[in-house]
Amino acid sequence: MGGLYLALSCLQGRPMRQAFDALATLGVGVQLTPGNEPTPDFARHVAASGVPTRTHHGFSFERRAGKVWSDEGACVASSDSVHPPRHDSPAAEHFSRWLEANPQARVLETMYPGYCLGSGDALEQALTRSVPLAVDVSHLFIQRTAGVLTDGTLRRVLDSPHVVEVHVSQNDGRHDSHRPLRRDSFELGWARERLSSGLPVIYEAYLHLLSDDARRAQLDLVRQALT
Amino acid sequence: MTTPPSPPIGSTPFTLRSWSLEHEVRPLFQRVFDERPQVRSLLLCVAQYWADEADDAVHGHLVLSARDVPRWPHRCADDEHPGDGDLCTYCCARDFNDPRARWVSWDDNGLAIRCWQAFCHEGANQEEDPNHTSVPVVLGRRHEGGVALDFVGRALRPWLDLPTTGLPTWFLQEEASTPLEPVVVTPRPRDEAPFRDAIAAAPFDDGPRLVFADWLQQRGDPLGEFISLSLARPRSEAASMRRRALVQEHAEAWLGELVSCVSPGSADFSRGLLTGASVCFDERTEALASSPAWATVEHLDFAEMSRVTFSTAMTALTSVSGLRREGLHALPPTVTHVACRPEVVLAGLPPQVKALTVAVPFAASAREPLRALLERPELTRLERLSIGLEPTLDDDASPPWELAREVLTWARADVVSIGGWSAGHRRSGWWLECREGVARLSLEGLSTFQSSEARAGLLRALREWGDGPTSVLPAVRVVAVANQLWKPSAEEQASLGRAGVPVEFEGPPPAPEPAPLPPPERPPPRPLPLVVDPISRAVSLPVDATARPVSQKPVRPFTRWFELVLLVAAAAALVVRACASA
Repeated sequence: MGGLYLALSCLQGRPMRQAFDALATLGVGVQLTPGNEPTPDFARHVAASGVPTRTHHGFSFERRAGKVWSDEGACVASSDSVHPPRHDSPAAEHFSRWLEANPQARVLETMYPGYCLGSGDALEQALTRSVPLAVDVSHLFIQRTAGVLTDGTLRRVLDSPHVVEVHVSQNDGRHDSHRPLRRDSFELGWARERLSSGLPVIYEAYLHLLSDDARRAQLDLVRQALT
Repeated sequence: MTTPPSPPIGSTPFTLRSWSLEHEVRPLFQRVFDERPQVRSLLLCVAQYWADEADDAVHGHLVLSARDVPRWPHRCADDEHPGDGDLCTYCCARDFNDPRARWVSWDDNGLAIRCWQAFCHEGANQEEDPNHTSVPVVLGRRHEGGVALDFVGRALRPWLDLPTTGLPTWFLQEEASTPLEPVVVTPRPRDEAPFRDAIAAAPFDDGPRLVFADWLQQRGDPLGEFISLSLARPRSEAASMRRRALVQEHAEAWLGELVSCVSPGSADFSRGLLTGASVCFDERTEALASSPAWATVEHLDFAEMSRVTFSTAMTALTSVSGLRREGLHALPPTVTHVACRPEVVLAGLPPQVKALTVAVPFAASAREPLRALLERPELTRLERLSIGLEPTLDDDASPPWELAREVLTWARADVVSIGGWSAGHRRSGWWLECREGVARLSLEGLSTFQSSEARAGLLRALREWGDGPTSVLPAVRVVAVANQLWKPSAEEQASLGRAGVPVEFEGPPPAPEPAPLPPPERPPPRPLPLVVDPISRAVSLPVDATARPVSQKPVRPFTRWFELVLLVAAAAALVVRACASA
């Protein structure tokens, strides 16, 4: 289902229900992500709200985060999209084999150095295998800054018909800091095209320090930039 | 020396924190004091950086000082600035691979999360200056060969300081079946009910509390000693330390059934019994609003997402912060002091409110709305108006004097104050309180609004306030008030005296500024083999023709001759062509 979503992690650390309600008042969908304090009956609350939702990575209604990759390299999460394993995790050494055997099993997010799918070479392999991708443009910006993503690979990723989800936020190219978007945020124009073509676009900046008005202004900025 | 086993991770955050203070923080402070005789005080700060995996690691950061209290925000020395004389983890290390950057050696991704996350800012990230990401929580000072710990942090996210706070992700993934430890609330003895009733009937009278304290002490209950220490005036340093130790040990137990909704890290027992607290009411705990345990509470703070609920049990309540629109209609008639955001004021402030604190973003964009707010007629009937500046994103920060000038120009209450405001709905940093031409400057807590720039901004506003209707500043003199957190040195007093407004000082006589802490030893740079010509005095750096980078290939003579021939041929061709065209 396409459209604009706010990640629950925009209010990371807060109780799930309160974070969900605060984001839902902004009138877009909510992507359920890990990192919030569990609250009782949250699943029922979400279902009753009528707000469009998607799930991401290790989201769990019962805990802050659920397991995504087993040590043997199997993906044990059933979310709409997941991160590939970190290089320092036991699952990483099995990832290539898993991807070869299950190229379309999961939507995998484009990451940054330190993760599988964290470099241009790894993304080229994913493209070759037609892996469905959740493209986080802020992660690609980190790859560019780190010098591990060429122009050619970037274009091939962005032009790929296998992109099924888009994530947007701002950073300075060094850390994935989830800052509020700016008009010149990396590849925002591309995200606009993908939204208009019906893909889900997830806004992922931290909103804790922003007032309700400032949050609306951020969304207006996204809508302005995306529509 | 072996570290004692940590309590089960499923223990409450309060229990884990008490353990961390004794077995991680105190030994660390002792070690630094032992190794560095010049250091007189230490400040432990905490910051939580989030990550895509929601690991939520909590990092510790240390500031060392020869002063009574380290400067915060701390300024490291660099090539252009001498620093503030203190040292921190980063300026000692300069490099994360240096073990000195790891002085605070707790498990960032483990126990530290559950212990300290409630005290950390939201939304911090490792790209920012530590002064913005970190929050001071523990102040350590030398005391009789040991360490005196002073808890200066306040829970900024009280909902993460409750027994039901979720376990860290790493733990759940490794031992998913381990549950949270249930909190056993031991009921207070029934025979103390008459004492509590007497206290509830006269909550502002110390008499019934002292009677209760005597009765408890006869039974060996530490609460009795605590009440006596809390009400004693004046209170000695030894009594203060004993009092702090008792709170650190018993605060959670003394909350009784309120432990399910009150963060121990926010609880104030300043009058011996629960006097103030941050509360997190939700659908599970809202019924606790009618507990008789609220009878002694004078100040109630509603955490950011708490339901706003009052009850007739809150008989002593005079002050409320974190108030939202939905709570306005139910405000108890005893409440005369309210702290809230501007939208609550715009929704209609009840006439009972005599003192108001409005929290506005410390942002350039807040200036116009602030002036509009200050011009509203209902604010003219206030006795006290305070404007608290909340931290905001760096790129929108306003110079403090601009907002302060708006307040000093347009506010019309009898007493007008402005200063820093923390996410825990409390004063934090420098505050200026103006009344009848006297402006009192004080430090109310450790925060980024403690910077000398913030203080200078407030004083500048005193010089440059505009032509408005305010009545608090017909003639200005500043009284700078020293306290436990700020004891200005003679040099600092002299500096403040140059602020352009007359400044008097209240407090103990100033001590001289201590010598800056010596920077950490670094390997001396290798001297360059410079050669001075004895006749011309010219300085040159001899080049070893045989030395070259390992990766550089040697230049073959043939290549240079070949290049020379090509160059000469090209020049000759150009000359011939020029002659031909002439």
